[in-house]
Amino acid sequence: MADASRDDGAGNEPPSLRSEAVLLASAQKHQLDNQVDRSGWLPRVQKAHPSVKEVRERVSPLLRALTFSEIYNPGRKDVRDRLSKEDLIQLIMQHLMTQGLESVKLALEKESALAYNNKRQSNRSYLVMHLNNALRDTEKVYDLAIDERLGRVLGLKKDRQVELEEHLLQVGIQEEEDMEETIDIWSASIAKEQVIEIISKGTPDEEKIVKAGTLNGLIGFLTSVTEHHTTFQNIFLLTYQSFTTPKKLFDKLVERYHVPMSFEADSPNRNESIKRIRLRVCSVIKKWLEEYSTDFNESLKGNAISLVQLMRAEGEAALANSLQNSISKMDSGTSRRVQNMKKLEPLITKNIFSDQLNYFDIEDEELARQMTLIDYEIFSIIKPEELLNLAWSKPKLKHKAKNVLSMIDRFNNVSSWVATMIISPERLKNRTKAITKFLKVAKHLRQLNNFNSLTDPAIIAAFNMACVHRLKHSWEGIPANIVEEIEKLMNTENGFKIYRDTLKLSSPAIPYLGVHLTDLTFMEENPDCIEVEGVKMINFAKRKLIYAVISLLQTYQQTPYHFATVHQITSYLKKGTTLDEPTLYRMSLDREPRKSRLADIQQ
Amino acid sequence: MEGETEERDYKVLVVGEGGCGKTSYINQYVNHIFSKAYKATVGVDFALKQVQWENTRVRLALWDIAGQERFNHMTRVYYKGAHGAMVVFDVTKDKTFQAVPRWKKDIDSNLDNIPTVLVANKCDLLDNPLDTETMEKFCAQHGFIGWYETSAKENIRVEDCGTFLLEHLVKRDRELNPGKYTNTEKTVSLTQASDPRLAAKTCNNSC
Repeated sequence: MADASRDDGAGNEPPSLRSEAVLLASAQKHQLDNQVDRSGWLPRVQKAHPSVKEVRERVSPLLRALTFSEIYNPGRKDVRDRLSKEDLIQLIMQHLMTQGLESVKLALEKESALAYNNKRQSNRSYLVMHLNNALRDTEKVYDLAIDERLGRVLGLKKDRQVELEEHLLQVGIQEEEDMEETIDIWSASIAKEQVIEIISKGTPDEEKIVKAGTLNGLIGFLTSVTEHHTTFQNIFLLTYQSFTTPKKLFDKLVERYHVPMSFEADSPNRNESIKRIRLRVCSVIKKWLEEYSTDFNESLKGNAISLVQLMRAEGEAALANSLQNSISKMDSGTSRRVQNMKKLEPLITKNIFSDQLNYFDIEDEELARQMTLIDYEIFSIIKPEELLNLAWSKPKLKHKAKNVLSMIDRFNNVSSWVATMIISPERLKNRTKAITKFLKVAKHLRQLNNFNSLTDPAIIAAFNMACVHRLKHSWEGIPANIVEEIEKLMNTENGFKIYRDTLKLSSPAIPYLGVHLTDLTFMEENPDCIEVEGVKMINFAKRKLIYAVISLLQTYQQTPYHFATVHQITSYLKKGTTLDEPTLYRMSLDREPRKSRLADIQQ
Repeated sequence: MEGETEERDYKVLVVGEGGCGKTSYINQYVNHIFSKAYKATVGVDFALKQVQWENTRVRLALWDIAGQERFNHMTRVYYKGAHGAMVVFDVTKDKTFQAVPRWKKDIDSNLDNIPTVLVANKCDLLDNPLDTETMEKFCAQHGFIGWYETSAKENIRVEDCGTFLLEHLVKRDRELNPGKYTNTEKTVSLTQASDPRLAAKTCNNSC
């Protein structure tokens, strides 16, 4: 932008600081006022002064972003909340350092009375990096928004609007509606009326089951001194993101930690009570840090560190140390159990290093193992919050369910790939050979309890694709007993009963996610909030149901397979060619035309 | 009820894009509730609706693919052995209507010409009814036996739509299996029969 100073324009104010739209509007206004024809002056000026043109072109993305953000103004306050003046000055100073402008930085330091904290020891300018990111995001928003406006004019429907909202959510401009809970956790008496409990008579220990509560009520119960419920704690920490955010929860816990002066003011045991509350808060945060470390982004981790410092300052050294311990564990990554189990020796074929490697060359069992490893890799990193609020099926929340969506993509890819491999061969004999191969692989996948990839759904899905299923002659060469066996697995007469029963007895296993997503979808039919005596409460019973599904999946996430990855095979599988369905169907018709006789297609 | 009663089981698929209200629709049709506790028991993959049709006791098994819409080929496994289908879309979301032909094609490529009804759900959110002529034409073009504007939320025409499909299911069944039905009168007398087993299945949760 420094180039703007070189501009020697026609004595006019350089146009670079305003957007074209604004200029045009003001030009039109002037036109009305003075009746002077200024139409086309911009191109004229640009033609006469190439430097003006160059400057305009260079700053145009920035200008567009500026004008555009005026339209989609998130409000100055929001911006201030996100980026303090101090942070901004630090960013500028860091930028100056990377440019070798130390004296300028010193001047800024003096002027702003802020010491440069050399936190970011990098010779990359973070300011430029952030600006680039912001520009990229704005450009995307701009494109989508322009499309949306055009769409409205042209009478198109709202799909782009959805995509736009999705993107805005992703870059954090728009926020989801959050259950508003502004009441201080201490001002509302976190007494029982905020949490509705019912006693479950079925359980032997008569454990209390929380049905519903306000956010304050639930957090009060979570950190209650008199009630310790591990199950409640587990359900809460696994599902809280369906009704609040990690940041809000953390703030509430800190609020809970700061016991007000008025609390048990006259009680001789006041200090003892405070200690116990703090201990409970600390133990909840500890558990949260250790078991759900991915909930903590940099900023929230910063908050946790501040809390440790505060505890130290208040003389709670034991609590501070214990919490610090959990934070350090999170940093070093030891919270995840490192598996040092011996891995099985892979079955390697001779041409493993050939770039002509083909699935026929790979042993059935090894093929099944490598497919399983790919599936497990995705499955194991699905986070609980991806399964909340039907995030995977809602455009606005999709960005939260990345791994669930990759898992579905993987499923679709496998079935398309299998279908492609079966239909591609021109000779009948080779198609039959392909079917036989995949049936054998399917048997191995079944033994590995890989319910996602081949055995149950994906290969069956492939066999069921109309384009594969209709290849009567290709199926004729398949021994009847293998077909029967696979059909037994396909049996969905009782829903997924066979699958569910089998899964229960299998470990390690990769569940077929679809069934569990359906379960979650049914559960989401229950309302998020219920009203109890005029108070809006979080329907906790619903979260308990959802917890059951997610924790079941988690048990399988925690049990890995002990096979060594053979990169040649996995990379071959990952880039497996797939054709789209219409193409496959056309090919299928070509291979075995309708009502063709065996003799017609044998060459 | 005099004379012997026959029993018939029909499998009905309920498909359509995610979020168009399939589950709520079934919930309303089978349990007469909207957005309340439902199917909280894990492991129930279809909802049963029992109806009396003349002297035949019909059990409709409604299969919901909710949550699995993105699994491209998986849904085919559900299709096996189905007698009828409903393709649901959300009248407020054009995208879900655009997807209707794809779902219908999916059904047709897997099953032999089963009666399929088009369900235009969430009509309570619509200011004006859909254009009849356009819809009729759409149905004829894509081979639907008919269409219904419904609202699972307000319980509008949910029952009517089910009865309409059932009528076609029975008709087709009689054509394919002549002689199985003793009573061939065309009078429509539907009485809701409550199934105690069903009640136990869906109401034993606490929320």
